[in-house]
Amino acid sequence: MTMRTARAFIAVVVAMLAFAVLICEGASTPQRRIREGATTPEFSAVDTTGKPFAYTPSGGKVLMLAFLSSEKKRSQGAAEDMFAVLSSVPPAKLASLQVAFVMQDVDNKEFIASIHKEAPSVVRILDDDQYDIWGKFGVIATPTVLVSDPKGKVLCVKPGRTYDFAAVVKSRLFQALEIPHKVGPDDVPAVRTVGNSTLSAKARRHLQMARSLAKKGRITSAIGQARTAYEIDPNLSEAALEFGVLLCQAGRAQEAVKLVSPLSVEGRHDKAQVNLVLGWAHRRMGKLEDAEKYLLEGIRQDAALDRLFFELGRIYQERNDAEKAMQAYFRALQLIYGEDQE
Amino acid sequence: MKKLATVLLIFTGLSSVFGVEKPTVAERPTTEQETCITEECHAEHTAKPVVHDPVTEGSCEACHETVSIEEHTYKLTDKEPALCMQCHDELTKQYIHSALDDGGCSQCHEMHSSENEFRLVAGTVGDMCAECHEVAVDATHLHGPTSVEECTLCHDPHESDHENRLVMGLDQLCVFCHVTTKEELASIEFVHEPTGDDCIGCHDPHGADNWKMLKAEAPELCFSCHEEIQTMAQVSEHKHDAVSEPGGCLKCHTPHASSVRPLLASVPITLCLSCHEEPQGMSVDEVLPAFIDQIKDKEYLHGPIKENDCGGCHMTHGSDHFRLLAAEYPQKFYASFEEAKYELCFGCHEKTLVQTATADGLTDFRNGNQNLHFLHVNKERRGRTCRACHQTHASNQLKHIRKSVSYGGWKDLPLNFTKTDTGGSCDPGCHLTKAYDRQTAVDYTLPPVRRRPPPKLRARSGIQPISPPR
Repeated sequence: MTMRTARAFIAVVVAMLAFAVLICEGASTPQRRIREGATTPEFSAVDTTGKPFAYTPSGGKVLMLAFLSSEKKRSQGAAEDMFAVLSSVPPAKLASLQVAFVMQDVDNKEFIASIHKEAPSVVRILDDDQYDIWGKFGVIATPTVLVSDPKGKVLCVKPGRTYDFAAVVKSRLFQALEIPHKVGPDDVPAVRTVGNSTLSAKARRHLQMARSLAKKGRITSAIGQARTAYEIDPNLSEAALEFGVLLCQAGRAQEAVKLVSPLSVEGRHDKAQVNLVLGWAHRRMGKLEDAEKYLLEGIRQDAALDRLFFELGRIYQERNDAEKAMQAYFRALQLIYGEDQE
Repeated sequence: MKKLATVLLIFTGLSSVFGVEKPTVAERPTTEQETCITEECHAEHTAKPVVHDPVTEGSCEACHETVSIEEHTYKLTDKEPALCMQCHDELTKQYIHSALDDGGCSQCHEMHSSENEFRLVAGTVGDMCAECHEVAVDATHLHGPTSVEECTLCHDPHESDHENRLVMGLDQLCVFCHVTTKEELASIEFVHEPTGDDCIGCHDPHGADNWKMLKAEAPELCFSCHEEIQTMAQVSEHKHDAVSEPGGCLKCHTPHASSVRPLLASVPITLCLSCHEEPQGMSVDEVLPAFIDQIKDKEYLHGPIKENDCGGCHMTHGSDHFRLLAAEYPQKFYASFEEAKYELCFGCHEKTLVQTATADGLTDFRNGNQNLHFLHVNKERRGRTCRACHQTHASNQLKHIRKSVSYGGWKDLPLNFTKTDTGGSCDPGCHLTKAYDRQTAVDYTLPPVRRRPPPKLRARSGIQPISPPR
């Protein structure tokens, strides 16, 4: 019994060990191509001008390594993309960058000459006819571009001149060189297109029409367009405010107050605009005290809004306060003609 | 008092800057009735609300001069438009409204007074223009300014330095209103060339019967410039139906700008899957299986699939190669080797992969330095094509190696591929178990030990009798 149990136990242990070995083997099965996050291997070669090129991960330099083939269209396109990327790198950053194009067919003189002609001086072309560097990085196809940071960590391995090739290479290179870039490496896959059918886009079109019409003195038509803009996107504060201004211009003060009063806007300029419409409308309604209060509040929020001073001047003018009216008009004129006295 | 006068003066100046609400007729200054316009005579000239300033002021002599007081005859002081330009700005720009030459200002404006803004002869700007110009008549999709008859939003009624008397150049005019488009165009890398200054290349600026006021529907509209794509789509041996269907191009491309070339509306594989998520009927007797099934839950993807870029291997508009492939690739399991037959694969992979008998860094599929790709593929007879071992799109084995391959009537000829750190082995239906090792080459100089049953035995066990590949 004891013997049988011991044998069974040993069998189980052996089976478990065998399974563990299999699992571990599976997990460690190597992938040929170097992975992102790995340390870039050091390598050296001679470039097409006969000068030695050496890279070591501890060298503190950013590496952009491109495996290209002079016979393949995609490689040629990739080279052009990389030239464009490199041309956007600030010259001061080029000193901390090593760029090598690794090729097996450097005998294609035309292609090599075109690269030498167009490439920034930082680009070195390495002859790897024995696939030594190719094998070291486990490359399987061209173009393949690798970018590693100053500590030698691989940030990206980008195979193929795919739809996002240039964007990925640029974002990773800028990341490695610590250059601010509007598109982060993780944002690249998102495709952005022109969204001219959004509600906001539609509303802004009508708003622009309203502005054009107002400039031509076509206030009634302008109000129609501003109303459309406001109805399409009631959250577009500039539409509501423009609509309010036009209503004031047309003498429809109560409508303007009704429109603007419930508005909740952010930012000092928009708040000042609200107060302008309210002040203007209240002046039209003969409520000069309220009007003055709104306009002064608006001036506190945005002292560069010329119409606030103009409307304030009109209030003082209506009160026969020539001194103050002159002061307000003068300030409005200064703002219009950019002659800020302060 | 002096100050108030100054205030009034400044107010008047500012009013012109700000466009203050216009005074109503009742607010306007009254004219003296001592000239031509009295209750009895010429009263109709001031009867309408919008009155020409000289008429309001009773300055009839601004435009008229006496011929004979006795006969009560008068004439204009000059011909139009020179008469009007005595007060109004001269027309000096390149493009002048032809109406000014044909009949002068009075073609569009009443000279004395009118019911309409700007003393227009017709009721509105749109009505006025429509007297001579017919645009977008009965069109189902109208441009905003056309629909509200505001022609002067885009056209100057008198003169302009821009063709068709546009108020500004085409590079600025459309985006003056389409501000969101303008902002987005500035921030998106790949822009359709006409978008810069030729919106009217695709859109009818007044209106059209097509969606978005397009001059024609896609693909015809797109083909009017992209002739090479039209040829590819219509003349290729293998056509992609999606391109020629109504709206074709716009299924994949965005017309203005995209952050990815060539103006794709989304990530390529997403676009492809928008149709190929489902099986696609190719002909009466052929159905293309749903592509999604080939990649779903697969661990190892072919490079272009991994990069979401079907266009790496397929011509999306049309091709002379089967399955819309971008270049030549053998259709069958076997093919005698020629470089040209593998143009597709050699577009990315090195041709030396199958051209050199020995290799080191070039490939991992080698026994010592014996290049096993060369061994399999580079044969005059029965060279194995890539598909013999690799699942083109994806598989659950490294290097997207197949689990099995369809061979003649044998639907699932197994490969039994095993990977090791330094090599691997196969136990396929094609040959006996073979292992390879890059560091210590497996010695095949000894005769192999047959351990699989011969074909006759397989036939007896229910498997189709076939000649084993050699």
